Amino acid sequence: MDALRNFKDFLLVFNTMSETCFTRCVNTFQTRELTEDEDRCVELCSNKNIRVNHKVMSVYMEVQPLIVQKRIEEMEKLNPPATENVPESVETSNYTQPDNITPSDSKDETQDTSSQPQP
Amino acid sequence: MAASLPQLDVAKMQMVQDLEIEMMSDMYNRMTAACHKKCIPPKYKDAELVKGESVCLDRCVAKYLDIHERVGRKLTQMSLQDEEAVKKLQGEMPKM
Repeated sequence: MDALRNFKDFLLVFNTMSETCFTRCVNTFQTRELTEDEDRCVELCSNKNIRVNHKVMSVYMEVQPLIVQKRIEEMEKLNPPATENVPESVETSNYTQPDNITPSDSKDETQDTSSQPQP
Repeated sequence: MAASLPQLDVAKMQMVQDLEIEMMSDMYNRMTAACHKKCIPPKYKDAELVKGESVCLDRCVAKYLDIHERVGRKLTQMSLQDEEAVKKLQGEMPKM
């Protein structure tokens, strides 16, 4: 499934690149053939766009995890973890498996400790 | 282009073919939009296709398809190079 998605992305990049290079490079319609200038322009355009894609991908892969990490930290602040008896150093490790912690679980545990106002 | 993918069963082959058809249709739409923008001026004087517009569209489509083919060749060449580079790295890794 992953390979199929990659293939689809590749084809989309291919189509987008064709369109971009055509729109920017071809401005004369005197003949069906591509002129030398247009030929050179398309060559440069495709090379540059490939490099643009690589650069964008590398920066995205570098920055996106940082943003996701920030989002997780913000969510942690808004929904404080249920295990209040556990020291802080262990609390942060609980969030490596966020799927196990559901809102209903946290409400059940808070009822036992004290009469805290429910949101 | 589908030949560059690893061995797939019939169902996945069908999906690949569907994907290629979908992308071909996408290319067609983009080509139509691009040639419309290049060849048909925005002010509509006449409903009929003037000879100049007709010739322009003819050449526009020919050039677009030519460019599409060149870009495709370049991309497949690049992805083959990338694949070989990755294979080389993987070949060197176990030695370490």
